[in-house]
Formats: sequence, structure tokens, C-alpha cells
Amino acid sequence: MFLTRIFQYIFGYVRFKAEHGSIERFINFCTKSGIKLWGIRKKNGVLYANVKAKKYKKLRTAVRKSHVRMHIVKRHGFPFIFNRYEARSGIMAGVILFLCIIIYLSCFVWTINISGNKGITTQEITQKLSDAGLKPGTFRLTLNTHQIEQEVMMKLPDLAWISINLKGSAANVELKERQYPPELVPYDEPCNVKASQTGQIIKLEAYEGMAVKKQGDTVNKGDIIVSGLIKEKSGILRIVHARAKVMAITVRTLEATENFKQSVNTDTGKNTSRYELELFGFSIPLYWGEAPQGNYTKSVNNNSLTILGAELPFGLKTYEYREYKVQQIVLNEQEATKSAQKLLNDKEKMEFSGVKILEKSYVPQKKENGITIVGHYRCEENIAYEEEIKIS
Amino acid sequence: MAHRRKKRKIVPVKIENQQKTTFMQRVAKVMELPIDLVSGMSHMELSGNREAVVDGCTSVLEFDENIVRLSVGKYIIRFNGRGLTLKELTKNSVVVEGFITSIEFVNV
Repeated sequence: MFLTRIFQYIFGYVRFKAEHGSIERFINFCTKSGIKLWGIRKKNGVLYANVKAKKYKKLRTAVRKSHVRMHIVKRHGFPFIFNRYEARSGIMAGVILFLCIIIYLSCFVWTINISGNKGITTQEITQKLSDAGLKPGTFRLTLNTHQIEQEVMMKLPDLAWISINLKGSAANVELKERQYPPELVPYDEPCNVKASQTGQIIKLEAYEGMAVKKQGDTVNKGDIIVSGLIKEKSGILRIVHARAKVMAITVRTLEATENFKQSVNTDTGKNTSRYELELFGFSIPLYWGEAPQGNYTKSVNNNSLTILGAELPFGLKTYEYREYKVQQIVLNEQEATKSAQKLLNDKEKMEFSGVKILEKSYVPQKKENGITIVGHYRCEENIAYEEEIKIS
Repeated sequence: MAHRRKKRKIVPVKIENQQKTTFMQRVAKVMELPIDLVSGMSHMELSGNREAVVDGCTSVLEFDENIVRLSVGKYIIRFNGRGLTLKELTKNSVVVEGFITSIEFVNV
């Protein structure tokens, strides 16, 4: 019934009243001529009823034959609303245009939400999706998500699976990265365990092979610690893949130099900005002429419009050009030492990953051009590395 | 000779206004089919005493807040009640809505 009411409202209906004459005759004339009436009520000898807007004029015959007087009480429905605004066609055109724009814009992908990535960056996935044909502004209705999934899987071998779900104008990309199995020890390749650094062994765990050195021995770089050749008591020579963990105390040296004379880029304070309007992946430049030439650093800032946390494919891209000039400066001894120390600390982090530093000391050396800091380290580390035994 | 009593003929008493059952009505009764389906009678459905759907209505004879009289071929249905309205009215069906207190069937 509710659906019927909706249709009645869409097509329009009229509430009318009929009085005088024969009311019952009027009703019967209406039904016989196929005019459907509803909501018929009689109050103080006056009949109230509803009829479709288009059928209202057809009631005239029934009115004439039954000698009743009929008046409209109220008009309901869309056709009467439209008639009211007939003179103001601009409003109707605006409403229709608004609906058309809404429908048209809902045919495009507006945002891409990527979830489930850990190792692969979102930027990389976005790039691959864009290459495969999914980017903000893509026509949604003809999008072949299955094909895009296949293409991205081919381009990113680290993916275990990827799924693109279109929900309205948003493309939700869910993925899982591949988990590789641990590397197998190639037992069929015979090898020795050698020392990667010169030092003193403090702990030796030989898992396979025959230990040549023991705890407390000193080794040079390249010495065999655990041999892959095992001579049995019976005199048989067995070749195995030697494996071991060799913890040793090693002494290491690192150095970093900083010159007194330095060339530094200093900001002149002259900045130039250029703007681009981003619309569905297209860029509309809002500037004239070429980019500034010379000593400039360029930075890009992308400000996309967001509504309720969802990024829209509209935005303003800003290119900022900052002018700099190269200046020659001379550092004093203290500044150069500080800078050299910083360089050495960075070097330490790079070189000594997985190495436990037991003791360290720094020796600054002043030279003609600058300062050199030499760092002496006493470390504890695993010096074992496997080297294949080449049998000819 | 024994007096032979004359056998009295049993004459069926004709009851006034008794409706004759038609052949189709008898068939419907034997087959246990709805009687209105085969004999072209009207069909009426009641929802409590608030709504009555009458199929096979040919015309509205009287319509008021308290009385609705409908012609359904061989007889007239009279609804008595309060605040009676015709919710829907089509060529051969009527939906009577309101507080129905009684329904009468009157033979034409």
C-alpha cells in the first residue's frame, strides 16, 4: 500500500468534494466509467474523495448525470509542484542539472584506499595501479578490476594476493604481501667456516664440520676456524658443509675527516611559487612562462581536498622554488671537530650493525686542511663466514 | 374385510424465500471447492470489524457515515457502523473501512 501511495504522489492526485444531487449515483457512474476513487468519506451530506490528476476532468460526465456540484479541496503530488515552478524554469533546470552532475560524477573513481601493505610502499602500489588503469578519475562502470589485479600481481612479485573492491566512488584495495620461506642450508655444497676479522675467539659453536681453532685462540682474517673436511679414524675423508657461530673480540678503527674550508648553500630569501590545479589526475597549470633557472631548490607540496577523511581527486599542487647561493666559509677547530665527530658517529651506525662495542676511544688529529678523528673500537662480534671448498 | 387405509401422500412444505442450490454449487460442495469460485458469487474478507473487502460488488446503493449498502448481484450487503468510509472503489470491488457493528445480507 505504501508503494501505491508513492506512485499516487508521483503521478499526482486531487482531493475533491461533491455535494447536492445523488452522491451514490455519482459514485456508481465513476466506477462504471473506469475511474478509480479512494479515500471516500461522507460528512454532513458532502462527499470527499481522491482521484488521479489526469482522470479529474473525466468526472464531468458523472457530475452532469448525477447533478452534483464538485470542487477541488487540495491538489497533491509532483505534477502540481512542477506546475507551481513552471514560470521559474531556472530552478527546475538547476535541480535537474544538479542531479545530472551527481549521477555523472558518481560514475568515476574518486579515491583509492590501500590497506595491508607493510614492506611495499603505498606510493609504489599507487603507481602500479595507475599504470594498470586504476587512478582517481577512472570511469568506474567499464573498469575491469580482475584484469588490473592480474597486472599488478605480475608487476609486484612480492604480493601474495590483491583485491580491488569498488564501493560507490571509492576503490578499496586490499592486499597481502608474500612471505618467503627461510633459506635452506645447501648441505650438498661443501664449505669451510673462516674468520671475517682478526681477533680472539671467546665462544665457538660448531654445528657441522671439524673445529680447527678453539676458544681463546687468536685468528687472522681469512683463517679457517671450522673445516669442512673431516678425516675419520678409519682414514676416510668426509666432506661436509661446515656451519658455526664464532664470537670473537676484535679491534677496529674508523676515521672521519672534516675540512676547515667548506662551501655551503645559503638561502637568499627569494622564493617563487607556481601552482597547478589537480583534477582527476590531470594537472592544469595556473602560471605563465618557464620555471626559474639557476640555483634553485625545488619542493613539491600536494594539497588534496578531503571530506570526512576521504581524499578527493581535486587539489592544489604547489611548486616552491627557493634561490640559494654557494658561499665559502671557514670553520674553526672546534666546529670542524664537532662536524667530524658527527660524521664518525654516522659511520659507526653504518659499519657496526650487529656488532657490540665494548670499548671506544677517539683521537683527533689536526692536519693542514682540517681535522681527522680516528676512532678505536674493541668489539664483540660473530666473525664466521662460510666459503665454498672448490674441488677440482 | 379389513378396511384398507388409503396411503397419504407426503407433500413437501415449501419454505418461502428458500434459495435453490444450483448444480455448480452442489459440485463445489462435493469437490470441497470454495463456493464463490465456481458459482460466481461475491467474495468478502473481513479484517476484524475494521475493514471489509468485497469482491463482485456491482454498485453502491447507499453511502453514509453509519450505513453502507452494496449491491452484489443476487443480494444486498448492508454494513452498519460508525465512521464508515470507502477506502478504495474500483469497478467490481470495494474496501469498506471503519468501525463495523453489523453486516446484513438481504435478498433482492
